[in-house]
Amino acid sequence: MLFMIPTFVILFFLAYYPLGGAVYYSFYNWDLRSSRPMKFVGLDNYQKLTTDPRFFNSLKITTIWLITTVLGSAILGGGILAPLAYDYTKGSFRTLCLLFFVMPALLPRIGAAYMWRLMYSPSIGIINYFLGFFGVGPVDFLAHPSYALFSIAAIDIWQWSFLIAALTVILLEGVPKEVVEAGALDGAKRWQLYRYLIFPIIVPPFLPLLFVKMMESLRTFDFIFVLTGGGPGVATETLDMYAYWQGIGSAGRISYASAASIVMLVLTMIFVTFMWGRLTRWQQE
Amino acid sequence: MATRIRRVNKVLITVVIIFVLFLAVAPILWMFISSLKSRVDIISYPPKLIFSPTLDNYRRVLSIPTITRGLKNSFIIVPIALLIGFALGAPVGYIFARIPFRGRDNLRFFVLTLRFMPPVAVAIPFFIMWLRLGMLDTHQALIFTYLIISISTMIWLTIECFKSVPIECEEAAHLEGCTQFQVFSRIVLPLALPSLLGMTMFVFILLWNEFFFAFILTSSRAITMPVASASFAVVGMEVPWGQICASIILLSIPPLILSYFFVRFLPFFFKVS
Repeated sequence: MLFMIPTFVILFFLAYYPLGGAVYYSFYNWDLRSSRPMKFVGLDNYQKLTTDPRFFNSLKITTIWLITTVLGSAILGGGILAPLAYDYTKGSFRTLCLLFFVMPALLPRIGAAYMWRLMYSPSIGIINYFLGFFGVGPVDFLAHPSYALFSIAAIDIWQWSFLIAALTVILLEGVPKEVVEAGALDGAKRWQLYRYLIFPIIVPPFLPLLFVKMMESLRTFDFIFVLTGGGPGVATETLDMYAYWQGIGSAGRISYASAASIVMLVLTMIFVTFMWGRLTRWQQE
Repeated sequence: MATRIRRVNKVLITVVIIFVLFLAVAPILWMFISSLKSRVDIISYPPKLIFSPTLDNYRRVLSIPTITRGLKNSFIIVPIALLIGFALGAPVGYIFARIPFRGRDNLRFFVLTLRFMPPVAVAIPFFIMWLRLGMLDTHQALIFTYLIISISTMIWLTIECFKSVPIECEEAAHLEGCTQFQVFSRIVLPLALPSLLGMTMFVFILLWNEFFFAFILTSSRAITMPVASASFAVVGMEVPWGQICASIILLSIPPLILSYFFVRFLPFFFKVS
């Protein structure tokens, strides 16, 4: 039991130091760019946030991002790729499929971002080359305010849908054979087997996976930093990107950024606790 | 007739699956191919599939000090953070797996929440702390900050590793008069070794790929490979693609090699998450 003490001393420090630090600095007006002494300003920073349209824009972008990537990768991975791979592969070919499926997700996000940036390029990109056959383009995927966010989301969906597919195949392998065979004997069609027999069995273990994906979707910095830096304008500026620009990037307003990150932390915590509560309640029923 | 339709269907499905597999790795392949192109070939349009391959980009990239330093630092920082995380996390994972005590579930949930904290909220105070201590851009600062990832993930994943060790072995050792620590180090660790190795590899990939903390906390001396490879490009400008492709491929090789082991341990991991 004594082994736990150093570990938890470090963990508590790592968890509560930044938290305490961020709360503390958010009540001051510290600015890296100016030399004026730090002054206690109370809730000023939070008040400023509530009137900052750029902050609300980043909230909106984060929400769109979250919904697009979570739904996109769950439907594509769990709904299409996994049944395809499970029904039509077996043995070592399936192992090969799983190997290919996990590769995109294990890549560094920076790596995935550059790979797609190369393919998206309007001047040398291979995607625009293929679009050219259909008389479309060239499209500047990352510079157009209305496509940029979804072009980045496509990369995230590429990484995650294959991973979710691989994990769902593993889940499907765990479904008792008798259940499916009994259904097939009764003359059920393939989609009916999935809908009425397999689906209810794999949803309980599938939901935590979705939960993890949601949490991962809140960390978008790597992608967006490499691909657009939040632009064009603020079209892809998520919450973490916004806090970064305010605090460390160009603006240097540490205190203001701390306030933004505290708001982000609180929102995340509410979201996590709510989803986690729903999840455990749902699993108990 | 029916069998023929079935056969045609089967061929069609196989084609679809191979196309899907191709989609999964196409971006990686394309970048690898591009990394072997000369400067002229890479910016030629339409994109070339047939060209004379060259290792020039790799040669050029490996002569850039930032990249070599990044590679070296990654190979120092990641294993150290991994080892410390293992030394501090694995015993706790074992205790969580085997010894019931008051508040265990709360502590477990606390460990879990560490993974869910938004990195920005963590990074800004750490940035300030290391700035004040004059330790920005040092190996120690980054390693210490990485413990937040390595310890918490280690604890969470080792719980399952230790649970899979048959409890009878431990009980027998206890009866032979081993202390709790001896049981852990002589019986449990060797028995759980295969799954522990798989799990360690996963944490290695997590740390190897980590970008945000390294980007905020380092600038040149302690720069890691992901940050070094991202340092080429300025947003909005057309970039030195040859070098980027080569450095990204170098960056991606370790995780891609480990993906083979990842697949083998996948059923095990999944039970965990």
